[in-house]
Amino acid sequence: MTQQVHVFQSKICSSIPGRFELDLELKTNHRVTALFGPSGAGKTTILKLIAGWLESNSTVALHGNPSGRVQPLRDRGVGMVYQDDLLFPHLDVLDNAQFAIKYARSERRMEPSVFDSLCENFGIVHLLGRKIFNLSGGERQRVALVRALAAMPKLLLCDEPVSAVDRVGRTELLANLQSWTEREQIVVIMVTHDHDEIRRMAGHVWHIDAGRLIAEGSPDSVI
Amino acid sequence: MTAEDYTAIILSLAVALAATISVVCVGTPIAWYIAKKPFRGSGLVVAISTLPLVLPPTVTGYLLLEIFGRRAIVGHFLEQQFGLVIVFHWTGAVLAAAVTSFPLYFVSARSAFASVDFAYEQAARLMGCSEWTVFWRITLPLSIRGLVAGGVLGFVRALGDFGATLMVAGNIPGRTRTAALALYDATILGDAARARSLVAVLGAVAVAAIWFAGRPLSKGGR
Repeated sequence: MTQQVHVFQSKICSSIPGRFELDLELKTNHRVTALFGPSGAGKTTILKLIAGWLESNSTVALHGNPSGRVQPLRDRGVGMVYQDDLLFPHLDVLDNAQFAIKYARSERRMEPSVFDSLCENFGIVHLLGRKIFNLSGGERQRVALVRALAAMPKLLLCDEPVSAVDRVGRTELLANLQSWTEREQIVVIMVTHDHDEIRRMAGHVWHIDAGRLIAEGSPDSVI
Repeated sequence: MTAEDYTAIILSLAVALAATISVVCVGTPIAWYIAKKPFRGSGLVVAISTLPLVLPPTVTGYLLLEIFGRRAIVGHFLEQQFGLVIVFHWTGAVLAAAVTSFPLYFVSARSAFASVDFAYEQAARLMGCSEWTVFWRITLPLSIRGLVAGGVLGFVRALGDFGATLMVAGNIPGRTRTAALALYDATILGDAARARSLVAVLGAVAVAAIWFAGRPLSKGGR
């Protein structure tokens, strides 16, 4: 079965320079699609369009739902991991990680036992009692991944999710991410600059520049 | 201080508290809406909301009499329908104090809400949270310091109101004579000891309130 994510936009708000003209199709026979391109190409903007953050005249049809109806953010089944992690500063690690479990609508509440294994998978069990401002950059990114996955998204958007981690930690964290998304059948779109990461993780690559799709295909054919 | 002065101080505290609660209940949703969902005409709402800050209190009091006086449209309606008389009544003192202190809370609350990063709220929505949950779990905790500071400023302003209260509620001992009005009486009568005591009490409450607003919050603040 093929789930499709179509992103089309002819124009977005004027505060963002340039125009986006994209028609992207995401096939779930590739678990991970990499979004690749130079700085300022519009990669984060594309993730925000898919997530529904930006008000625009884009049409985003998620999970095979072709309707042009704009879905509220909370109904999209999309998770996002941000470049600057966006962990809630007034909550500790546990409350951040469990945010969706505590406060999201009931169908997106993860079972406690599954949450425990999620925390173990990402190695954050020993961090759960800590304050957010006591964490290192890498620890914050782990918590951010757990927080996004605990909301049980069908599609996970990752904006350079391991940028604050050293090379060894990066490989391990991406392996954790890969094993969890395979286990839970989650489709991933990941922004990254690292060719090795793309080859290791992604089945498909979108090469973006100046808001346009320049090339797409397998990692070896695009980069 | 006389027994009447103690009554005036208690009345002042009660009026200021009631006014602050009213201001928080009315001002919080308006400030949130203007900060988060600005619309055409929101500038006008802001201007009207902050008007009592720049108007002489007696002008504010006069305008309130024009609206809530027994022969005015709203005042007449309230008396006919609910038997509620605002003028020369403690409710008038609450109304006057609330209107004069509203801008101080509103300005603080609006800027506190506006300073909460939209990205945190969007992140919570994306995780499946309703607008209600986003407000209670993200926006409110991240803006609580500004709201508390605004509430305290509003309370102190309400406590010290003189002009608008005098215009709307009068200066009836034991009923509408607040501490600020009692201080005026003591001064006019040349009773320096009474006046100093009232100044000391009003000053101490104001200092305590400002200290309360400035102290670090144990949980929920940044």
